[in-house]
Amino acid sequence: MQHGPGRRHEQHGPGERGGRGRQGGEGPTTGPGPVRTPSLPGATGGVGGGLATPGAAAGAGFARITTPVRAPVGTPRMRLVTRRLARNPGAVLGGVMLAAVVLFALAGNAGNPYAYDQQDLLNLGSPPGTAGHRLGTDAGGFDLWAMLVRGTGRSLLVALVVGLVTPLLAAVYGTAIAVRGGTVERVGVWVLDMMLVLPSFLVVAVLMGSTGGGALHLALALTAFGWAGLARVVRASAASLRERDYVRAARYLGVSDREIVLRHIVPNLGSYLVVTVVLTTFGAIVAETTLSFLGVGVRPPDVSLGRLIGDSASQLAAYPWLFWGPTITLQWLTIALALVGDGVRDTLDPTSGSGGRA
Amino acid sequence: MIRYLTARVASYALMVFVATSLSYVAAVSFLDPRPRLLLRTPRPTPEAVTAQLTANGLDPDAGVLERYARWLAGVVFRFDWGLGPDGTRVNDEFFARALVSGRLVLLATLASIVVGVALGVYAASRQYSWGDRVVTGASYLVSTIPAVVLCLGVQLAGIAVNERAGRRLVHVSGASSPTPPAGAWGGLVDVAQHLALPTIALTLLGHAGYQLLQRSLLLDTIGADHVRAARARGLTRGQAVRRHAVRTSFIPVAQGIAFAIPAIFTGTFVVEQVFAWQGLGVYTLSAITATQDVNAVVAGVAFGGVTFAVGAILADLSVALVDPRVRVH
Repeated sequence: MQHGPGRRHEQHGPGERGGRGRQGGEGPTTGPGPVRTPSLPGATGGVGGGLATPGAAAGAGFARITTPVRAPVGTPRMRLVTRRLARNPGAVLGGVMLAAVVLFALAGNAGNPYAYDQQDLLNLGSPPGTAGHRLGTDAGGFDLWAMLVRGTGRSLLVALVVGLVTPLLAAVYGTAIAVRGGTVERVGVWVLDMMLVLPSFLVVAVLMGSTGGGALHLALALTAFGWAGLARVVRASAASLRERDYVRAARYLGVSDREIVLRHIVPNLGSYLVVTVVLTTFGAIVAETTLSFLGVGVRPPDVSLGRLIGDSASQLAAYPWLFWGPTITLQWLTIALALVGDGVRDTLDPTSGSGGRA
Repeated sequence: MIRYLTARVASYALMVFVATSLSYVAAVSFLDPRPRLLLRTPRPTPEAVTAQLTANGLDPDAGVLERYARWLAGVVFRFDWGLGPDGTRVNDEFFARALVSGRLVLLATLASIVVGVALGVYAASRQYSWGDRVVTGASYLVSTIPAVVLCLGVQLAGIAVNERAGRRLVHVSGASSPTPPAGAWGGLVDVAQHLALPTIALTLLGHAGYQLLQRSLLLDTIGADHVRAARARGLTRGQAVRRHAVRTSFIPVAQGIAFAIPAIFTGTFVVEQVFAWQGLGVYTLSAITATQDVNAVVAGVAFGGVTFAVGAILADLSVALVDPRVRVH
């Protein structure tokens, strides 16, 4: 669950730990670590294809990257990223696993005669294979396969909404208060700290009690109380970028705050935010599971992987398949996301050795 | 230093106060204990339920601000966190449950730190050996397993062990037997049998983060000049690593430990639910899902906030004390 992400001392601005970053050390659950200088070798205006030069990671690289983003001379950034990702076997495996699970959620119930909300009163709690139930039924006669397809879809929906909206919210808020500076920044940071002090877990649980327990409600609640930690990290990095000479120069040239954020600050945080999308998605899957397991997340009639595991927990000995079905699906999903996350982080990290010749 | 610390404490105290107040207002607006009380047998009249709630200071017809003011006065002047819908004192319940949770959490936290840091040092000093690959790979795997799945898995394993042994070696639920065996030794064994599985689950969950962090930090310092200098002075590799590399690399780990304090609070929810411990987590949770006990929920929020603040201040302090590069204004 959520540690206070990024609550390390602000004195450690990005790029201060020159050399190698932390070797992918933080597991996906520990949240974002110190922001690495997010520069891609190809985007440094480098001529001749841009070899990954670890030395150019911090400091010096900055001034050049954010000269107005024009088409780089070397390999285009997107192709560079995809090529690097494709060379990382873990990331490819994770991507394939992820695609498979998305396909399962979208079209997994094709050919299954039963729907997730359809009771088969003749087969209550039957083991896999009875009467055309591929994975059996639960004690209420609901088809496990159909519920798995539906539950995977709902869990993915929660993860997608939280994973996309949280970094966006955090980026907008964090950069906005950092660029404004002064009192706005101080009050803004205080509000973030206050939100971090609030145990978001309990607050989400209280809010969910007044809703029907739908997946979308859960996604919104998780987003609303989960973006503060990330916004704090974004604020700290944006504040250090703000002090750079090129930003100051832009300001003296009369460039507006909005333009400074969009042209000079966001591009420098871009790769970090991309990594965050994957990590937040992972965190959302775990949070959904935990809350639904405890009965304060997704509730009947809606189905999610966490709810299915929670339902099975009290009858492990009697109906083991009800536990193993959703558990294996969930584990498949988290491993896929962890692999993709690691791959993306490696790809976008200019200090990692994954650059190779691309 | 003292001034800095006082300012931090004051700032966090204000934050906890605002956060708790907000959550009180939210809890009063969203939680309603009446429907559940109305379902008791024999069926009470709505008036009787309202009268009971009013007697316990939970008057459902009073305004939010009025209730807030009365509750705040109780907390500030008498440290009285109010009564539950059934008239039990939140203070007493909370304290009793905290003892149950504390027993579990304290042991598991210590075990996670010791196991995690030890394995991290082991893995880093033998980078890319098969031992390192196994230990680090296991940590990566564990960090992809949601707490729910891991706890249920440990419980299943416990059941399997009991079946294999043919008798009950470890208890899979509860904090102690309803009728503990006689004698001090019997009681101790009983407690240990109940503690074993949840402690293993929490340690498995907790150690992975420390292991990965300690490993990567030690790898960063193990090749540093001062460690090579120590080797050059004639220390063995083991001595140089132990005395010079591990010490410096432990600073950020200590900071991580301080920040993990609030996560411990959250971690208890799942573990207590799975292993049926009547601790703080289960108490706060049932205050939300079952009894709709506003005062208990708010006490839980305040407790969570305070643990977070303590963790954050400890983390700042540990860095400020140990690392001379950090200037404390």
